[in-house]
Amino acid sequence: MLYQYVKYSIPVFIFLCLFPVLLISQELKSNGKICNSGKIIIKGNASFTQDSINGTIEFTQNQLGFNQYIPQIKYERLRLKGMTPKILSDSTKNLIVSEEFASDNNVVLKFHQNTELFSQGTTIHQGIINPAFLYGNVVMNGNKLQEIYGKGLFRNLIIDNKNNVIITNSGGFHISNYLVLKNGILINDPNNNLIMDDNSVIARYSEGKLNSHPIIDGRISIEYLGDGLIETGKEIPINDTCKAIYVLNSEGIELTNNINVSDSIVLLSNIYTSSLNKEYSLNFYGNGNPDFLDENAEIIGSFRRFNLNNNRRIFFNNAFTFIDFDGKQIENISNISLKVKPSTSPIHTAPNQVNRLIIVEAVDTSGKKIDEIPEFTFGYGWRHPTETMGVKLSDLILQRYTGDFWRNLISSEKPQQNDNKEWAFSKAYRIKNTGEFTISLPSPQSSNIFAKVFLEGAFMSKDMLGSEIIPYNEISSHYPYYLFDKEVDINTKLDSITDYILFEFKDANTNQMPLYQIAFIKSDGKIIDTQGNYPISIPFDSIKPGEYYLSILHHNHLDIITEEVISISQNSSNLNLDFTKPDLLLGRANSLKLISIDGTTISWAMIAGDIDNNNIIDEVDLGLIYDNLGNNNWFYDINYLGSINTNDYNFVWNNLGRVSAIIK
Amino acid sequence: MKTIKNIFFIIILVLMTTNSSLTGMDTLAKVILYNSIKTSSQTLDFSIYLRCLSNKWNAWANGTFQLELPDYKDEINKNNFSIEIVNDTNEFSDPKIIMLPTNDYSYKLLIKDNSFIINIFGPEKYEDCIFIPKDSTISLARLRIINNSLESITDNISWKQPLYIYQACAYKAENDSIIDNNLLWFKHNDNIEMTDRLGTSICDYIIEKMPPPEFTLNYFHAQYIGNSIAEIQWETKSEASNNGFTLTRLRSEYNLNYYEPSTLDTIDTYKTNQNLIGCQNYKGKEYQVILDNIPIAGLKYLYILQYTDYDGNYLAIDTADIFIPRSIINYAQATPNPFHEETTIEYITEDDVILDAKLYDLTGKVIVNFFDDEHISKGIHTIHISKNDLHSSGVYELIFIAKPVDPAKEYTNKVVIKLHFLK
Repeated sequence: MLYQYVKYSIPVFIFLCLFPVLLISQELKSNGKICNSGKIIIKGNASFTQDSINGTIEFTQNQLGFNQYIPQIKYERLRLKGMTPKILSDSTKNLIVSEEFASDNNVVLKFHQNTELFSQGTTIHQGIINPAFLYGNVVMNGNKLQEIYGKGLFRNLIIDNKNNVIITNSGGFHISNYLVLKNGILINDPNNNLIMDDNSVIARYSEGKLNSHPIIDGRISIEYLGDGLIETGKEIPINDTCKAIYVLNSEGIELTNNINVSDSIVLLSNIYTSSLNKEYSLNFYGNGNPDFLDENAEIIGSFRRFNLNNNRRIFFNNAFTFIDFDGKQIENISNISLKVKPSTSPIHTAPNQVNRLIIVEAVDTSGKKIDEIPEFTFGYGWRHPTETMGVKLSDLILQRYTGDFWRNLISSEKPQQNDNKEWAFSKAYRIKNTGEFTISLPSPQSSNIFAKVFLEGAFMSKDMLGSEIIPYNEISSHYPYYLFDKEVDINTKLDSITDYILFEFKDANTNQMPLYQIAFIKSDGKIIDTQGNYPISIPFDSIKPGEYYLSILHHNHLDIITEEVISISQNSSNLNLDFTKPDLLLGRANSLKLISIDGTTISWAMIAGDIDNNNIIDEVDLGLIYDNLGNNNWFYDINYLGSINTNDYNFVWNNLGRVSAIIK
Repeated sequence: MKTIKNIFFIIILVLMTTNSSLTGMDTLAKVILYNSIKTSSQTLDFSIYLRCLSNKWNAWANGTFQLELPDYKDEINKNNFSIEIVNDTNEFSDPKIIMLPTNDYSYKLLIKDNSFIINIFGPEKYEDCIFIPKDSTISLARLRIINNSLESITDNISWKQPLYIYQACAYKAENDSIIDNNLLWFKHNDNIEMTDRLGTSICDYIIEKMPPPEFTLNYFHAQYIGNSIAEIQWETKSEASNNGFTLTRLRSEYNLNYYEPSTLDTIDTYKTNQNLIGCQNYKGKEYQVILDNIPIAGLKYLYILQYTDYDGNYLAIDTADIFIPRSIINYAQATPNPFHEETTIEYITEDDVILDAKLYDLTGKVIVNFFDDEHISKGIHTIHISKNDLHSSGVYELIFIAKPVDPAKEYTNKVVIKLHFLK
């Protein structure tokens, strides 16, 4: 960790005065104070009792087989030259250079890992630091804009200057271990750049950043440290893959670009993958799982995983969210991504949902998105109680959005809480669809239609099914009932049945192919399903939630349609539709026939007589009745008395000229 | 559970009763299956009457009436039976019965599902419908069901049940019916059913039947009209179960008081003469005259009128006898005789004759030649002789010689009358 490398020293002051240029060919040992405004060239070792020295001090010993020891005081300008390794031998002291630190290209500088070199001015580094070790902090912590250049090798370069550090003279220095962006900007550009060596690390604090992408020689890792939220920046390779990413700062990071990680992801806090309404992805190619150092840490947004393992849990955005294929073959899956949106209500809402959305997406090896993957166990977690919204925890289950509605995944286990009671989590089995998921109380899975309608001709007639006046085994051959293309399962023991009707749901927005539902009318007008259930429960699989104009079609009565759009959703799954009242219908009273007045209750009915189903009652209909007098054909039998006679004829006669509001 | 069902049923019953009393629903009309009667062994006639019982309506629109013959289960179809309108509107001459104007109303008669279906359609407009005041009765149709098989038809006919399903009867709305809040219940010219939608009929369907008619003969006449021809005629006042008449004849010598059965001849029968087909009705019929050519004169003949009932029994109703004279001038007398100025000779020919009549004096001289083999019809005739026709007082002989018109009949009848003329 960085704090292991960052040290500060306490300087010691020794007083000695010197001439403008002083060449020291052997050892320089000062017990007083050297005052220097010129240059001191030291070819041997030197020792000072003073804490700082002005002027230029050059250590230039150039002979292999020796060490040249550099006193660890504060220099104004320090220049290192010559092949003799330059040693900072005191592990308790740092070395400070206030104006210029320079090393020639054959310089080897060695110092202890507890020692730091503070360069507060210009750094010209052509040499090598600690060639045998991966430590050696060079801290650029001046209080004005600092320059840095050279072709040398840093182990750890720490930028800690709020006035920034600029790379000049084409840059070109290497960092083999750590670039620590602690404070200020390391101003680089493609022409004045640094080189991050393979396996090196860029560590960022919230106050530090790079101006431009560094040159990366191999794979690097990224660390985020300190306090505050950090927006990712130029430390992220554009096209290359990070080896690892460590999110160790207190508030996490916010991606401003996609990140590819090959080996590991370590989180102490959150990763936010969206910024300024832009979505980025964290792509992880490692075989292992992210290391959530804190259970509260999670990846908020998109997290895509490659190299999926089918033999163990594949963790995604947090320590509770995983997919487990339990050994199933998944070779054709290239990657799976989960986009987690905590504290977020789904766009398509259902009642009593947790404020968390999980979007699962899978891509096959050809790069195509796939909706179905092998069955998996889906582990999911959410922050409890903050996201639970007061819903009873034990009843919560996983839901998947089908594209039309939220389907309850009844294989969900009862949720649990983690030890610190900040998360609730559970898992659901045998999931095979990708898409949107959330956690919720079980939502309505069907629309319940509490509807009532009367037929003028068969007003309050009953037991038509039992008396076989209406058929039960050939209904699908008749208009409009054949429009309902599913098999009709009829409970033939139902009594009080007046007749069939067909609901037509016409999408109000798309006006696409309508959906149909066949049903019975009871003698009291209630519309029940063919098994006798009231209300009619139409699964959202059949009639998807949406806005519809709802029609009732009948084989010898004029069709009717609602004037207003009927909204079907999981939030309003119960529909109360009284088709015996004109106000509901397009055409109002013109679409119905007054049929009953009982005190203040006025009932209206669908208008009888449209035998040829053209929604107009005319002489053709009258003729059809006349031609079928004496028959018992249900299609022409308007009053459902089982025999077509003048009574049926009179229904048509009295309604001649009536038309439906639905134009055919 | 059963108790709950019972309670529920009672509640429904109370509600229905209450509802009915509240609505004050009254009976609007009565449809009568009137007087079904077999009019032959294969035909059954009946009428459908409609009686208006309310002031709520007065124009009849249309109706469907379904009838069945309970004795024929699953046998009633178009092959075995037919139904037709009987146009004999004089069947009953009750002036209180209004006849349906057939030019404004039409019929569609069907045989389906073991029932006879009578659909009657009226005009489109209220104004064109027949007006039926309250308590008046209209005859909607006189119908005949024909059993096309050789079996005799039954007269057991009834309304097909349940009535609210198979019967329909509607009147025409005179005006728009606007109720509270300007709600239009029905409009002018609508056809309003007399059966409500709950199946409760506000139109009764009944069967009325008169006592079966008895066979009553008004008269049966037979008379000789001359030229060996007898005229037989009869009229019935009512008939019961009459397939048709058969007329037979016996003969006997004039002085005998019995008829030899072996002389029985069938003169005419309904089996060959459609005019003799009988009926079953209450008003009877005057049948066409039968002329019988008598083969032998000088005998008496007995005509017997019989009918055959629907069971095939021959039943004698009446007889009539006549004498066919052999002497064809059976009366001749002069008045006065003796005479001074003139005398009138009255003579009767009982048949058409070829008559020769001459007046002779005692010398055999023809004084007056009245007829010289001339054709004289049957009847009473006179001859007048005046004193101017005679030369002197004395006895004269008027000799009639009558010969049959048919030369094949060889007998001759001669009558001589002696006249005394006194100058």
